[in-house]
Amino acid sequence: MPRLADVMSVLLLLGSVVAFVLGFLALGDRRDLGAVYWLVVGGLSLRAATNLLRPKAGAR
Amino acid sequence: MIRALVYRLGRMLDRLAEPSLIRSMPVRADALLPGVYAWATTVAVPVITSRAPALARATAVLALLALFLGALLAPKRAALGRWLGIHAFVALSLATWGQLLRASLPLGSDPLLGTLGALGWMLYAFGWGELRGRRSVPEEDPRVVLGPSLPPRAVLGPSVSAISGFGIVGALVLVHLAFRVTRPAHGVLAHAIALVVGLLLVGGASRVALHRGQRSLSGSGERLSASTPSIALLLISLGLGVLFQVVGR
Repeated sequence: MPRLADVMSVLLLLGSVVAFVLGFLALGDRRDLGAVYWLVVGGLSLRAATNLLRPKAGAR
Repeated sequence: MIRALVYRLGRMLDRLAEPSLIRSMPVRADALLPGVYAWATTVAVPVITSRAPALARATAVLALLALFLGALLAPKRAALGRWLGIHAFVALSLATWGQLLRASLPLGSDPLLGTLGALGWMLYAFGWGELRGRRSVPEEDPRVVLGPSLPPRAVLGPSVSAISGFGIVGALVLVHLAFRVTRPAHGVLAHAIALVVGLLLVGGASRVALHRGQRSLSGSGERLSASTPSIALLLISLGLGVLFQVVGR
């Protein structure tokens, strides 16, 4: 079961890279709204990926 | 005069044959080669490919000369070597770019070359940093304070390298894509975002790679519930994007 959060964390990290790439492609194609959207999605995905690495209470 | 020149050449060859100079060659190469690469891709190419003014050509050549002299002098006269290899080299490269911009000449047109040049400048900065010597063990230093050996608590698995490598590659791809943005103001913004996002990606990927599967982490349920707000925000954003696409069409 602990593996589920690990797998999700890695998938969210991969998703964030894809979203950032889409954001920069949109910026290059002069689609500013799309660029902002994908950069926000990438940021949220990266934040969710790192939030999933929550230590046990009292572990630190 | 020719005799004096031959004498000086002989002295130079003698000096090159010194064992200490040969031993320091890898250190010099670390400082020299990335700089030459960065100079070739970002300074020499725009100067050669455009009708650059004579001053720009002169500063470009002087920059390379400063780098060579700096790398040559750095092992023995560190302050002068660093002044030439870092300050003079960067200042003369900037002066070259300034002259090109003043003459309304492009600094580069190929995004791939620009990316490679940016990587070259990054490696140049690392090359002039202080690193532990190759094959040197800190504990073998005669001034070391002896104590119990501290073996690593865990060995990193191959997935750690794969995930952190993915983060680094992702960050480099973003740096490359930033060069595709042709609008000047947006281009500057794209480079700034690529730098910040690249650093966040490398940091996030290393964190995921290192902390994944550790016993100190809480159970999946607790971790999922703790990250619910950010996952919910992500899902809402994705939903809004889909909605926008459907309504927009």
